[in-house]
Amino acid sequence: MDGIHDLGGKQGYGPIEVDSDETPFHHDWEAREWGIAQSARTPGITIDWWRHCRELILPEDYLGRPYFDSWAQTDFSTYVEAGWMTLQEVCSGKSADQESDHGEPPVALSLQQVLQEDHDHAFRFDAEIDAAPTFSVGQQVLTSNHGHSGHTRLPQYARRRRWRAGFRGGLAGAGAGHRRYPGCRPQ
Amino acid sequence: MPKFDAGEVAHIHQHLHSHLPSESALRVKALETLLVEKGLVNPQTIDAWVEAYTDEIGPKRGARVVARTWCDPEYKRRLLEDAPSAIDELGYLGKATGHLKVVENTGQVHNLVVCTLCSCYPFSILGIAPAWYKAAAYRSRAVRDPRGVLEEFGVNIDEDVEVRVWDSTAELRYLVLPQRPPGTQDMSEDELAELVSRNSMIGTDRDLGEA
Repeated sequence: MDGIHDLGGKQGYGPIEVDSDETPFHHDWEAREWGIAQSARTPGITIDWWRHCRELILPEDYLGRPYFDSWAQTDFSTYVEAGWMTLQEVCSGKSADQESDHGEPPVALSLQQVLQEDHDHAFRFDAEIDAAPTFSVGQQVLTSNHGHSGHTRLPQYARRRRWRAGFRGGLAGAGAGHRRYPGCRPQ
Repeated sequence: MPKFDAGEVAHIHQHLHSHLPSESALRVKALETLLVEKGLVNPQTIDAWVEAYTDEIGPKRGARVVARTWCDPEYKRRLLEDAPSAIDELGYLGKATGHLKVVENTGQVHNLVVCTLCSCYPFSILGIAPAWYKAAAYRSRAVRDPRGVLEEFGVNIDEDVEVRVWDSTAELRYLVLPQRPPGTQDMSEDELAELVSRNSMIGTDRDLGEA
């Protein structure tokens, strides 16, 4: 979609806050949000759907609130849309359920198990498709003038321009089912 | 289960904008509390993920990969040809590196990595992205004025050096292979790895200094 997230080439965002600090998290809540995003049980929520839901955050929140805060808001929006919690619960911070209706809670994973899971998370998205490539490396191409309403990999600054194909990056969003959602187009 | 209704999500964001507490810490606390109460997450697993990305997974992995290429030309060839397989030799394949492309700096070329649409980053070899990488100022300007961006990081690129900018996608992530600093012929792989900054593997640092 053509949203506030499509920042490439825009002007007016001021100087970069340069630092070489390699500390991963600067607040406890950032670390908790990272851990939640890696471990929460979210059946059916695909990566492209989650990304698109982040793009739907109001522009003032997208630009004005901290990065991992936008992850939390995206999580809330996908869980509410999926029916796993209500807006009332989200805003009160309390569950209305007497007990979990999502089955047995997930078991605790150790550091070693998490490291193995991280390794196993190296998804590849290669897929056989029934179509010939539309261009080859080195060939000049004219990019489309429009994106689409979901998550696109064609940012605005790269549209309607002539480019020379540098390497074959593959067809995005065409492969493994866990990435896609209805209306999401291969790109 | 998700209905994939973008219109409903837009309404939810509008509601959250007006009704969520303002403090990020309170928002995330509420999220974790609800998920635990509903049996959707285990807090000990959250602890383990935090520990993994605080103590185990981070830019030291990328630095090891770079140092290995400086010591082993055959490893460098494999890395440039098939980066996921080459980093897996060191046990570093993982989150967001299933499709990874390594781009090499030379005397004539400097590479810079950005994600203009999101903040895509090769987590399993560089860890959590720095704040500036995720901020609008960097994401907007890296593709429009890369030399100006580099100057802000104190990196001045000669006019005759080509600057190539790589815009990451949901699938494909990048790692810059910086040049080996002069005067380091006698250094071990461990010593060389210490010289490699995180920023040099994103492209906002270039000359890693003489030994």
